[in-house]
Amino acid sequence: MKKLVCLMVVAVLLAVSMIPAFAASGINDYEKKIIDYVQTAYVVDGKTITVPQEYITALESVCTNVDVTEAQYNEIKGILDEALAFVKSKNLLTLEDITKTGSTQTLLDYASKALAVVGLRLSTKGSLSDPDHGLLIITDANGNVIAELHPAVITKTGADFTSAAVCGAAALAVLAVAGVSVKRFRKESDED
Amino acid sequence: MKTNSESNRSKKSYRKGFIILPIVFLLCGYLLLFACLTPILKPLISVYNLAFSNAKVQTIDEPGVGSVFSGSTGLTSGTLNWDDFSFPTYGEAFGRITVEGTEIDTEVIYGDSTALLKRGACMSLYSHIPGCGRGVLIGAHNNTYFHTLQYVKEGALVHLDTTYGSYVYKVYRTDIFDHDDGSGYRSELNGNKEILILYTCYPNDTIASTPYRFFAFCELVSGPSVNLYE
Repeated sequence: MKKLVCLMVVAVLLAVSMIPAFAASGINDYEKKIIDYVQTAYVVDGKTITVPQEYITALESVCTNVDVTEAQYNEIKGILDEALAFVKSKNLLTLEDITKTGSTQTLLDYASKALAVVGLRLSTKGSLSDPDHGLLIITDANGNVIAELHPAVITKTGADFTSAAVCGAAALAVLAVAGVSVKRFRKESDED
Repeated sequence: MKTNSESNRSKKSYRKGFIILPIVFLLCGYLLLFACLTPILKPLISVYNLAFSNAKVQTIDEPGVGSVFSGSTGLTSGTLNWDDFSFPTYGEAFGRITVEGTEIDTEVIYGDSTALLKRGACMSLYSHIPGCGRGVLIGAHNNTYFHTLQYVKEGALVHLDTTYGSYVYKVYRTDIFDHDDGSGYRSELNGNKEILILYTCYPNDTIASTPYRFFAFCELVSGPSVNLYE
């Protein structure tokens, strides 16, 4: 009986500790503080350097998927402080500076560490320097996608003719090879 | 009389002409047929599976997949706090959009990856959901769901029904920008006024991908406001 109660207590504690990380909720005070930090913490010569507003909006979207606690906020703030120190040391002033100085992976690692605090996982697909095809993927502990973000705000919404182009190119290649082969075959036949 | 070398050459030529080349062409032909027919065969296989197989068939292009929208709520005003509604999850079809004067009548999906764009009109995570009093950015393919967006006229009403409220917007401006030219839409997207921005690639009939986008900017006429903060 004791063991059963003990098991039940552990199960309840585990479930309770999981709830803050994965429960969807509004943007609470700690999440607001994180957003404010990203928007205002980086000051150079009295001027605040921040990411474009649309990235802040995306951050707000992610925040609706978690419910950050005070302890988690403190941990995330520690990671953001480290990231800020890195950004300052590299003198990154624009988004272009990140790729120019080869700092993308380090910053992604900081972001990954910060997201891991609330049970989220960060991964990438393709090169993030390709705004249309590079993809930043955030998933929860169960592997459910929380967000997929292309670097480009405006995505490609044109007709996809890639397969048609590949078929056309393949057809042309076969025709070209056929033409060359027939010509050579005839030449050899004539020689015989 | 043929010499030995001539006879060998003739044998080689025979092998090349009547054995190797036909095999190569056969394989190339099958590959080509496979590549060309795959887009036609896939839907047919899906239909066959739907009709004759017990297996669950799910394709990302199928309308209604991941849809939580079951019709208009009829809620056109008031304020919704966080607890009053469900924030859409990624990939969820949480609404439906119709645009007057066009044939646009499609689901609205939260997120805008390449896969999601095959399912309907997609809302960018770089924008806010309707009701937040900020920019709402929705795009769709110009050869499918937003094929007729370019025919929209100023003054046309846009109806956007979501799982939590019914919104009406009015088109006040249309424009064409290079997709890299953020100056064309950024102030509306990031401003403190609720502006619905619809976009698609422009022009419609280009074979190669085009850098231009057609934008329709719409102002809010009615709809409940939403408070994302706890």
